[in-house]
Amino acid sequence: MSTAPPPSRPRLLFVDDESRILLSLRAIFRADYDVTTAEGGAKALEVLRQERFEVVVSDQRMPDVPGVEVLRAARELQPQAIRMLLTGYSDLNAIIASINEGEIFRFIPKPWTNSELRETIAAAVRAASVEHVALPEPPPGPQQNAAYNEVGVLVLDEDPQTTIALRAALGSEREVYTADSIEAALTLLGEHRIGVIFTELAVVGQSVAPLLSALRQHHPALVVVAVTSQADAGHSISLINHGQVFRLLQKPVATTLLRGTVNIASRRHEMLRQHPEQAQRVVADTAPMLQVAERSGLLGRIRGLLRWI
Amino acid sequence: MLQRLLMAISIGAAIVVLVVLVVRTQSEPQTVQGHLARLTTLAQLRVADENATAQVTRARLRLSTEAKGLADAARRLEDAGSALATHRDEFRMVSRDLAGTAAGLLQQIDEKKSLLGTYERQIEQLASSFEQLRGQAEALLVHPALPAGSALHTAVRRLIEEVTLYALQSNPDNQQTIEELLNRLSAEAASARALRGALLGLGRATTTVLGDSDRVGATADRISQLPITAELDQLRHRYVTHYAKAETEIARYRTVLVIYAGALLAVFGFVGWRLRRSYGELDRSHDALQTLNTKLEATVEERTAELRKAFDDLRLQQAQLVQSEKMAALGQMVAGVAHEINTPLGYARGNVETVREAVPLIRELFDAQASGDTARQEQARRSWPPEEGLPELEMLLGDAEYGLEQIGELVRGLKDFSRVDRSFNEMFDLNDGIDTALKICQNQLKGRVEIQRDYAELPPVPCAPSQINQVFLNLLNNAGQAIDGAGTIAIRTRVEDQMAVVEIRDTGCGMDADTQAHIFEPFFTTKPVGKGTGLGLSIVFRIIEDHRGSIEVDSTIGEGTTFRVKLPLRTAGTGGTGNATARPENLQETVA
Repeated sequence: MSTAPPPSRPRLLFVDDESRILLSLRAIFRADYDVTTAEGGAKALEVLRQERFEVVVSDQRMPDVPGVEVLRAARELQPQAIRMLLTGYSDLNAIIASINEGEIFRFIPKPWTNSELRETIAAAVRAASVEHVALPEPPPGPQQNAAYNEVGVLVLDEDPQTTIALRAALGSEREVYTADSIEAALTLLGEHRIGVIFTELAVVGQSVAPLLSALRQHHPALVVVAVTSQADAGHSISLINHGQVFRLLQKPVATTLLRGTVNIASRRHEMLRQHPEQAQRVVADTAPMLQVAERSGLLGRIRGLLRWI
Repeated sequence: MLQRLLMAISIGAAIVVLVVLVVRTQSEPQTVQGHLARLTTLAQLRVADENATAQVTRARLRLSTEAKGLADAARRLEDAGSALATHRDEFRMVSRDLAGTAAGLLQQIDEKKSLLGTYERQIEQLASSFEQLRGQAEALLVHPALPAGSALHTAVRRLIEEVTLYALQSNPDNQQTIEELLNRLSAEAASARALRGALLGLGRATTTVLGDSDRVGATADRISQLPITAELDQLRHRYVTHYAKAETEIARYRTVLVIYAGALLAVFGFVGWRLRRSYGELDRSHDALQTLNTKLEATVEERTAELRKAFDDLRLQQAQLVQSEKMAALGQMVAGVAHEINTPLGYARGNVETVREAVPLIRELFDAQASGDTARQEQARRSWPPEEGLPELEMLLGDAEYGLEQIGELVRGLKDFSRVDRSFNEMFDLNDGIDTALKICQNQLKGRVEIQRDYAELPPVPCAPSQINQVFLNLLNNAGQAIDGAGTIAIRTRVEDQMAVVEIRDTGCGMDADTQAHIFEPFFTTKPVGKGTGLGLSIVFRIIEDHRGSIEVDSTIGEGTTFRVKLPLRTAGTGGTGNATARPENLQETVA
């Protein structure tokens, strides 16, 4: 460009082992953003240590360092940066790892369409514009713990095993409510103070995706953990893109992991409650699912819920 | 075996005993005819002997007549003797002792015969000398010098009478009388000269008669002293005794035989009864067997039906499993290939879109230039500076083209790999097959696993390329999965003993011997439940076997695994080229 880019331009980092991808992406975004590219994971890690970025977009399958590693490193090195996976390979384990360890904002499949990609990047840049607030430290003593413990956990699953496992993991630390249908879940959400939802992907043959989208839209402080016995790549991508689930766990879940997840999810809930603007950082592309929720009347009910927030 | 031998021996022994008994009861002297003949012979001999003895006495009494009866008696005796001689062998058969006695008897008969001859001659001699004496005496009695009634006359007469008596008697006691008479005569003769010669002649004749008579007597004595009768009696007695003994013995044998036969009969009867019973039992068991058989057939049919159903179910399940394995492999492959395609597709599409997005800007630039509005021109140039934009457009389109080429190549590779448009038996370069498989599974190995190729010039191998590619893909996939993190897969090809050899060695985790022993079995898997049906290597094994090749595995835990595939360079046999083509459906069914 002939004119020097204004220094305020958002900085993007694209990571891919295929240089043509990087060239293509650069061609798309260089007009609006400050684009940096790294050919391969190792180079990306190097760049991440030296420069700051608003958004990091990585391919998953790379010979030296896989994308999940890059994103995990990015989360540690630059928690402010919004992370995304851009890949043509739907490897379930990589997707789950990118959700749980990379805490990614979106999963973008290849091939992309430029317009959608631009929108996603724009959304990511917007999310990155919200100052990152670190999770509060875990409460040091049992007294302070009590504040967290007021927040209950809702299990939305037909499988009683999830509740049993959770109760076993939590003991009497925290209330655990169980719903085996979306109706029951909504009722419980209206009656109790609930900060974390553990949910299957579908209950009574009904997908929970619209519910999650609606909750994300109207009650962003709720932290959603998906627990499923039938994870697949498509579901997982949908959960992250449309629901911004906090974690995706595969059944059976070890007790320690359950306990750890509940704790970190409650802290996150607390953080989101105290800093509502932080919800912008985990905003989801809720539009497609909200249409479904609207049609089923779910949305209206959810708007009236959670008066305690 | 032993039982059968014992049986044969006992049957043989029974027969031998039977034969011995029969022979014993049928022995020669026991034929009644022979016995009677022998007794008759002995009786005749006795009669002949007695007759001969009687003739001897009689012949002496009939001095005047011819000794014809004596000769007859001798002849009869001889006949009887020869009759006995003909039976001698029979006697010998009865007893050696008896035969000896018979021989002695025969000898005595011969002696008696010859004595009879002698006796006959002596009798004749006596008769002639007696005739002479009688002639002389008659002549003297009528001699004139001897008057009748004289003492001398009487003496002569008395002498004649006494001598006659002497000659006729076998044991004469008048010898003294005769000597006295002779002495008297010789005394008379001394006194009567005329009669002297006649008297002396008479005396000599008398002496001759007396001598002849004594000889006859002696011979008769000798004859009578021959113990023929006694010996005959003895022979007869011994023979009869012996016969009776033999008879008793035979009778005993007969009894034994009868008892034995009875016993045998009883045994046979028992055996027969047992046989009958056995047959009865056999019949019953046969019937039972037949019933059972019928039942069994029904059961077998039932079971067969069940088994067939189970087998059909199993086959269906296996087919489903094979299908699911195929789908799993396909899914994995598609996912990998999708990534390979999505990457070039991603930038190609993105680039094309970017170029299209640039088009309005370019148009605006043209329009601005045409309008001559410099401000507008400036604006348009800022939005799309041609000196930067044009090379970028060129580059983007070039990349898009390259990406599309990449995709095209990949699709060609897929087609090569599947070979669905090729025949099932063609000459195929295995090195190409390995490269195609490597291309397909590249996404699994790329960057992580180093591939070392050591290819030899391989002559084309007759095979079904799609299947062989499947084998290579499977082995390479396994090798890739065995390597956790970074590692090496070394691929080596060579020709050895008319076989093409492909060796795929990985530096993965390796397998223990137990695992190695089972890897080619269907449904054996080391992967977690749900991560593989365990059919992969069994299908590989089937494919290699269908190609008349072999597959081996060498593995060391912690060091890695080597799979060695050998395929014949020529199809086995002259008609072998039809091997793979002959059952493509079959192969197709079992192979993903």
